[in-house]
Amino acid sequence: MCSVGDDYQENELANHMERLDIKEVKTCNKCREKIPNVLLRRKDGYCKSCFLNGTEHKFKAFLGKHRFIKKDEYVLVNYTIGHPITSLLSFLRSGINASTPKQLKFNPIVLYIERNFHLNYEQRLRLLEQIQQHVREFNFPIYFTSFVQYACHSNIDFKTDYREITLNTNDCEEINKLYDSNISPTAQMEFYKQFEHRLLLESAKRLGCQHVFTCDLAFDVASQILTNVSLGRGSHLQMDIGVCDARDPNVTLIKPLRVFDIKELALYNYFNRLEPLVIKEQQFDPYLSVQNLLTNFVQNLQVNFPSTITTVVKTGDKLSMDKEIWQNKRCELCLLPIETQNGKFTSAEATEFSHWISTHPPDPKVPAIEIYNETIGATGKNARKYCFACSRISDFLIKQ
Amino acid sequence: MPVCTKKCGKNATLRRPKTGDTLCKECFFEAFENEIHFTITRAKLFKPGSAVAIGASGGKDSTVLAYVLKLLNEKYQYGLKLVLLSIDEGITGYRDDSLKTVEQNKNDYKMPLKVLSYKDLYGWTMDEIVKQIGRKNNCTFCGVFRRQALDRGAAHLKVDYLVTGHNADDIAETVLMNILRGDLARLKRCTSIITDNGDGIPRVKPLKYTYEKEIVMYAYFRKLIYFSTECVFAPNAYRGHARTLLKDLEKIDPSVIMNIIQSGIFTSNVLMYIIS
Repeated sequence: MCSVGDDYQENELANHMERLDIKEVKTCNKCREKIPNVLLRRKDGYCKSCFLNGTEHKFKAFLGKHRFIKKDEYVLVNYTIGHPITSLLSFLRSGINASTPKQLKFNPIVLYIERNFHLNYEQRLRLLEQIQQHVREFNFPIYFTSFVQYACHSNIDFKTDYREITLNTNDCEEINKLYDSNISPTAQMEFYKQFEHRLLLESAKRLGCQHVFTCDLAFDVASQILTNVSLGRGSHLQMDIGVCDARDPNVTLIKPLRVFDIKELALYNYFNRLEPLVIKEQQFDPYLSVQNLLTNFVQNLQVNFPSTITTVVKTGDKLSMDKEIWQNKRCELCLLPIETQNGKFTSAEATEFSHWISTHPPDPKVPAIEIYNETIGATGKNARKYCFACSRISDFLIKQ
Repeated sequence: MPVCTKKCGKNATLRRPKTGDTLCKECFFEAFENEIHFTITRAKLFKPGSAVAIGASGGKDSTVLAYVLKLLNEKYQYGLKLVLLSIDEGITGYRDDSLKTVEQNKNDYKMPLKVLSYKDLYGWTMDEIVKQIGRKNNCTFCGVFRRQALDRGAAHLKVDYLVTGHNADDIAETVLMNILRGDLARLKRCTSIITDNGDGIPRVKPLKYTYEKEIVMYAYFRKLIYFSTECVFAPNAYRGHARTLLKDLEKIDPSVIMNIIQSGIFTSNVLMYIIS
């Protein structure tokens, strides 16, 4: 039966947002005096000074509103190449140097996780040098650590000088030994994400930090929500995409830039003459993995339905986690609680039955469901080590 | 050619998108029907002896649903009284032809058929509505009318359940769409296998965990007659974006459909928790 129109509000979203050109906006939205230099959300024009003040205020307001960080605490800043980190370091520096009551009173430490094994040795070294230089411009301490050393050998070593970090030419082969060669690019990206997450938490603990700042923008959060849903991580949505990830009792992961879009930060950097580090992007194939496809989807959606990103982020924010789930055993990979079925007939169970019925020959005397219920159904789920989504990728993992 | 994973000794004819297993035609029928039987029994969809109306459009989903329900009802003695219920929206070149297919189903499966038309219920056919309002938002009218028409038809037939052919792809698509437009209320209920709006007749989706691709393969191998033309008013609506996205995701990894439903179920758990 046709399901188009079942949800009878579906055309509402097709109403495109008002689109203006900067020339059509006569005065700044904030001061109502000057001529606007910047057009945000395709309708709001701001003059340069109002834009810069507004952007910095937005960052501080975010921290002030949530009150995550106490005075003199240490915050680990995860360095990821691009515009966002440049703005973040600038926000932090200007906030710490401010002499107003809104001064930021915590101590940032920058961490760079070296994971550029797709580049050659010289390129990797050159990049590290540039990163060190970039962070020093803002006068923050920086540590380097190797992703390969952590993922393959569980070694966490922090270096303050980029020249001391272990870079091996066979890092790429080393990392490939971690998982089965049949692994899909989707699962591979998930592994990297989970390992990086754990490395960040572990590094924060060792460096005495109570919080970690990451550079995720609203766009990243929106594509992460769709990715998580597509990979079966719906029950853990709040931890992965929320303002604050509290899966570890001692370290919280915070996304202070999730209220920004890339245009705002690129313009902020431009007006402040801040040069972000630029590297040649790896070729992006949208059909390579679920993650790539959804990133590409959100990017395209932004053009025709610009309000969708905000809608998706807000929807994600409303999906908090069931408090009772925290009493469950934790998944060994993502460290989040393993979901319980509570008697519900889930798609996990339906898939399990489908696989069972597709691999067992029929018995002419006993109905298949009876055999299934007696063997698999009755024994219930074995003590599970992984959550639903991680169990789907754990088969590829050779060693941890 | 790989061999059938059910160890029957034959060569496989297809690879199941849900699990990646390879099956021969006969084993596929057995697995497909057993899965729907498993869904019906595991989710306790019907009480024995109930009257059930099958929302029949003549399309692949409802045709397969009618066929399999009749087969399972006889094989496992559900004791269900099955009736076909069709809605004639009054769309020339689409519904008039597909209703002929439903008539054929009625004769083939020996089930009574009730056809309700928009013209009789509301005094308007969809053709007349489109003439009046144009092609914009016409699906909104059709959707609202059909919901009510099905309820009225089911009430008229005095049935206990109304089953529809919504498949796993449809449900995953709805989950995605509700996230994209931030509709939490619909997100909460769109993954339920039974929806009961209180005073009405419960709507049941026995094909909730059945892939669209497998439904097509089943209909093809069983040589079932169904109508496969898209509605002449098929719109370029927002749902189209979700559908294209899902099809692209399925190409990369077919298990994504089940993952999305799983995520939908767990988020609805959370939403219930928030609301309570």
